[in-house]
Amino acid sequence: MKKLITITILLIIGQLFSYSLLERNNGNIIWNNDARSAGMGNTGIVGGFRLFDTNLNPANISLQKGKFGTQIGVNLVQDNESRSLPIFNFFDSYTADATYSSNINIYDHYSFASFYKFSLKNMNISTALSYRPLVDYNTNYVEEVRNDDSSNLGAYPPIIAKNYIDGSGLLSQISFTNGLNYDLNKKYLKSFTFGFSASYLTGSSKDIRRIEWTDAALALVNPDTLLNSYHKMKKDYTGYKFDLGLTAKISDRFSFGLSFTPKTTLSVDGNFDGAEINDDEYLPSRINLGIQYLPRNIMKTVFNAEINFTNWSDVNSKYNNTVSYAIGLEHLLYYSLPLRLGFRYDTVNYLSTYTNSDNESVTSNDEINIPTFTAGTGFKLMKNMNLDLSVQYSNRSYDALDLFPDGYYNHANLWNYIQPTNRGWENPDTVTENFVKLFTSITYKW
Amino acid sequence: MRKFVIYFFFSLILLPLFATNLIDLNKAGMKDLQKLPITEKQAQAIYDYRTYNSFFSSIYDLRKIPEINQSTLNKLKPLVIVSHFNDLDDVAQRRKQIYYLIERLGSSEGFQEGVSDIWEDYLMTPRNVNKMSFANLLNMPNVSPIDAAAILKKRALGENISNYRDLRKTPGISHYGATNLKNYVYYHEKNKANRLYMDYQFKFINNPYGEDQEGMFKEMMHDQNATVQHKNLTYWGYFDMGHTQPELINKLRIRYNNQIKFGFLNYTRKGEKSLFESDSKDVLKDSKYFLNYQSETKILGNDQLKFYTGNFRAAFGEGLVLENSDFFSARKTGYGFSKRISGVTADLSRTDEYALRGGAVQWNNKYFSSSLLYSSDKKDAFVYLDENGNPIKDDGKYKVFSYATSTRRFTDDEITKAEDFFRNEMGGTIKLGPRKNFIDEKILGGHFSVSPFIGTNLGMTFYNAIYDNAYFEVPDNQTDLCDLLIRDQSNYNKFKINDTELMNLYSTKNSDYKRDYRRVIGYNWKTVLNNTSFSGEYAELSVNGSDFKIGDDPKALILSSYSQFENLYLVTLYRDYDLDFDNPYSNAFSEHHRFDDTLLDKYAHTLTNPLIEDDYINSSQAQAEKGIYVETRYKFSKYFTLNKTYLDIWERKSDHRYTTRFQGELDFRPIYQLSLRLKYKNQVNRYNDDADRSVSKTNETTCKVRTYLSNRDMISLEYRYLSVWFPPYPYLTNNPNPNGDNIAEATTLTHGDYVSADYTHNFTENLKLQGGLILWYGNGISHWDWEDIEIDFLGEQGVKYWFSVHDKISNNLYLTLKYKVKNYKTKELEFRNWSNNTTDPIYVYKNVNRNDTAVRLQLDWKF
Repeated sequence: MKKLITITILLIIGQLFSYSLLERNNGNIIWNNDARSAGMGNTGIVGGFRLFDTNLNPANISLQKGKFGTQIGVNLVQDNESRSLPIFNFFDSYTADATYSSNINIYDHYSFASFYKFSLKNMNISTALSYRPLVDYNTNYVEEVRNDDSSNLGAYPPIIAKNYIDGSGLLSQISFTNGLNYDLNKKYLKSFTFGFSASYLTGSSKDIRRIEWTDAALALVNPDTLLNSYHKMKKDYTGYKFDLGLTAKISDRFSFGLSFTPKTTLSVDGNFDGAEINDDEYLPSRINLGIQYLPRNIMKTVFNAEINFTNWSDVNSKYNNTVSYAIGLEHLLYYSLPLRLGFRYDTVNYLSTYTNSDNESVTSNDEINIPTFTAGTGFKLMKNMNLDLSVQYSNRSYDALDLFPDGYYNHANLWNYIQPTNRGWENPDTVTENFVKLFTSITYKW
Repeated sequence: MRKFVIYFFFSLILLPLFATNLIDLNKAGMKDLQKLPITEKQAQAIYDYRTYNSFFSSIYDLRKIPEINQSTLNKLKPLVIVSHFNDLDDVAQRRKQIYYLIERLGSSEGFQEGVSDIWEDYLMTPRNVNKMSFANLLNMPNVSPIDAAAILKKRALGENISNYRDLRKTPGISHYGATNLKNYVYYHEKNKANRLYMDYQFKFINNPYGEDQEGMFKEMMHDQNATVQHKNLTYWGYFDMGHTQPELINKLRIRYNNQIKFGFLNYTRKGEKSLFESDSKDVLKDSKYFLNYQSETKILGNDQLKFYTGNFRAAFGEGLVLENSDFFSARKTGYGFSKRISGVTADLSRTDEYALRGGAVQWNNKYFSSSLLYSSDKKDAFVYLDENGNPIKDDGKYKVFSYATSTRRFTDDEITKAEDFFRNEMGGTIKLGPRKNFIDEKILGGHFSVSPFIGTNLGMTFYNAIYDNAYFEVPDNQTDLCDLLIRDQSNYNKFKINDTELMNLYSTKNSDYKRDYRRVIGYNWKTVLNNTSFSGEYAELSVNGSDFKIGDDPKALILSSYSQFENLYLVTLYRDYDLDFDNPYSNAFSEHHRFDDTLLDKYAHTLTNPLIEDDYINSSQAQAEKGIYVETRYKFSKYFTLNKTYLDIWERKSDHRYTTRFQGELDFRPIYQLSLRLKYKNQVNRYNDDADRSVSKTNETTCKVRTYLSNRDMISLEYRYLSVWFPPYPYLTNNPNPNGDNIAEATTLTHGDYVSADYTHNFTENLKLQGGLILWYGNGISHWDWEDIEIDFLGEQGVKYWFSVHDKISNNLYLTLKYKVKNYKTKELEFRNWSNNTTDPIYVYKNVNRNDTAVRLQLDWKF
């Protein structure tokens, strides 16, 4: 029973570990993997004419030029995470946070898609097959624990333990997408497109959390009382995902689009330290709305604006549903070289537990805001081949409980002046993260 | 020859027939373009160019299309024509012409932001210069009283101004005044194209809190003798203010010409609930809106009538009686760039605490100007609290200390829960707390002035604020005030002479009287004699004296003169404000705002509630000063200009501290593209006594090189060096441990410097990129840095870089996106270095640097 409770708590608080420790609740969902729309703030619900944009809106399949085409994408993510603890001045006022742990990790993602289009007078029908990563579970965290030996002499104290979180795994999406485009050429409706996508999801994740005492610690304390800590969780996922989308070209300048992804159920099989896990997990339903405006400008210009509604309550009833805003711009400098710019503002949920005044453990939800700047460009490598490059920068900051509470290291012989105790929400960690994402993709069309 | 003449006339007759077969590139549809001897792809490219890039101004524009080469162009030349075509209506054309001015106005924040909307309206729909009154002319940017009087004198002689040349040649008008006015006026009566204008603006600002604001929120809320170090015992930690919601502004303005105007603004401060998250009741309560009707009639000549409901601004004279704003502006002379718009105007600024909401009417003509206003609103206040945190009542009404212009407006529910939490640690020492929409305030005010001669007016302004539910009560003795403000008796010695400024806050109830009002009455005047204008205002706050008897109440006086020559102006201003002239609705000239250097500024950690520091941080009111200010700008040769240069000598009334401040900037411009600037600033503070205590001297020298490159690109480099001699600061020079202050105190010299580079690159006329890099070393001295549209405070030492993209997406859609990163050291580094008691546990930290990022997005949609 105790084990079951432990597993349940872990499922709520730390079920999945993705490339950022924050996304342990849901995994890090990769909403977009196209380099062009990535440069434009991930906007591509309407007018996303690269093949990977079918992931944003399946109706985009009908915007593909040519009869047959393919796209390959390689994306890199760098996550720079620092964890700090509050420090106080001699008036006891909180002044700043001192960083005690910093980790920089780089992860890579690969995607592929291919389509075929069949044209009939004012209508065309397209079909595509694609592969892409949907949820990333990779993470890597290392923290050194030093005691207070010699610190008052200005020297670095010895490392007494090292804490690790190693996560790995990926949930992949294999999609079959179909779309239909019809040119009406009416005054207020030039054309409309409709798209549908069915995807098979499969993947696995592994999470290992360990604390290892160093030789320096073992030399000070009886090794029999200093045992390393090791916990492992492994999961396999399978599921099906569906997406629907629609775009309408109102005039030469205005287009409108929407897409909808229903709640996705993942069946999970796995184990935590040998105890079996058989459960369902969920990916949130999502509605995306977007407009595209093509003004008259010296540089040919595309302006996209989008709103995404994500129903996180599908995943956990404590989560708030969130709204994301994004704008994207594409200018054709000198009539050929695209300059893409974008900004988006996302909100993510974060569950935290604390003990209330009645000594009860309470889980509450906080929201964290993430502003993202994007920029990108593209080159024509040969007649039908394009290379798109984009970079995204985002940062976020939030309060969190110490991942490895200090009380665990409180052995009398290890410390001179202090007795480490656990820090609660009265003095939480401040976590700051910077993400740099590099998107590249090559498109070839016949 | 005869044959030739016949052929010539014959061809003239036939030409239109042939011409009709030519295809007009600016009008042809796709089907017409496909008739040309080009491929379908080329036809589509021509169509797309016209639709998404630009109309054709000549056939040769075809070469800008990558798909059209020279031979295709040669082939097309005889088959196509280009008609003059423009899709921009008059309004869009106008906006395109003056967009650089709208952009400049849009960058005004703080006290000028509401004013810039008014100027923008007049830029888009100018007024007839031959009908504008003295007050109307004077309200235009950078138009001096002498310029305005010069125009009126010319008109009085029966001469009309029929073009800019006439305006420029008006005797007495300055080059500067004429060039600034020209975009706001027209000269002939023209057929008005009646039109509806609409402006929507969205701003998203995620800047970190300023250092002062952060410091206030980070003070520990526990008994000062306790050694608890819990972050959640600070407002910062309790409300998780390091990760708060951004600042959001949604502003909509709709107007029909300049006659009917409507506006709505919702401003969400950092950390507050946004428009979509708030209850609908709160949205209306916390938003600003107005409806304005203006009419030009002929009752007594050219009369202008204005009616306002909702939020409005009022500013009269020199701002001593009434100029409502939440924002302070140092050295606001009322001339040049620090102009105030006199009269009643619509208000969609971020001013909230001193916003006026109700109705107002204004009637102006050649001979007089009169305004009457009524406002009824609930105001935030610092409220006296009992030991349980409940507001204290006295004589049937609540006891309040002061108005509260809060950095973050906590809801009553939020703040009472936080205070309850802190009270467990502090006992009953939270004696004052901010409460939202607490005071019921009703204001009746007005202004009347007559103008017997051109350029002269004499006026009177008054307002009477009635407080229905509260008494302002401020202790009038030091001990009681210390009990109220200072948490621990051991800190009562922090109360210095200049803190008497706090004791002089206005009370509506004290041992002498009990009333429910605050009443201010003032008189103002202005006259133009040749090239000099003289202005002044005298105001009294009714306390113990008679309302209309001069000299028996706390008073304030401003006298100023403005002399104008072709290449020179000279402002001289004298001000004298009594310490107890406490008028929160004033916004007059001063060097410092209220409570500067008091314990609200310096000793927030000693306060019973550090949030009271907001009374200092967000004060818009002038500090009680007496002094003389002289300012000039002199272009004394083609190459050399003395930019704004001033000398100010003043006395702080609270403690008789004397200050002299001089700033001068010399600009050498050997060629137009290159500007070399040398700026020097010197300030000396001292007390006029034998001990010469607390003298401080600041010297600052700045060298700046700015050069324009091709395509209006610009690069500038700046180096600044400053040194400060200041009185002993034991907290900097001595060990903070008990009995650690064993170093002989002496005047301290410290210096810092600053180097920066800014670059502006114009990709096209529609896309501009700006950026800057700054490295500074403060060593206890602070620097101020002007970025593109914001001012930034730089303390200690660090590095900062920023960039902004200004994108004109279309003729009515504009985007600005800015990102800033600031890395700097905090004072914590020093604090930790001193904490060298070897018996204390010392932790090892990898760094104590701060890394702040700021994001700003602005979207403007005008149609």
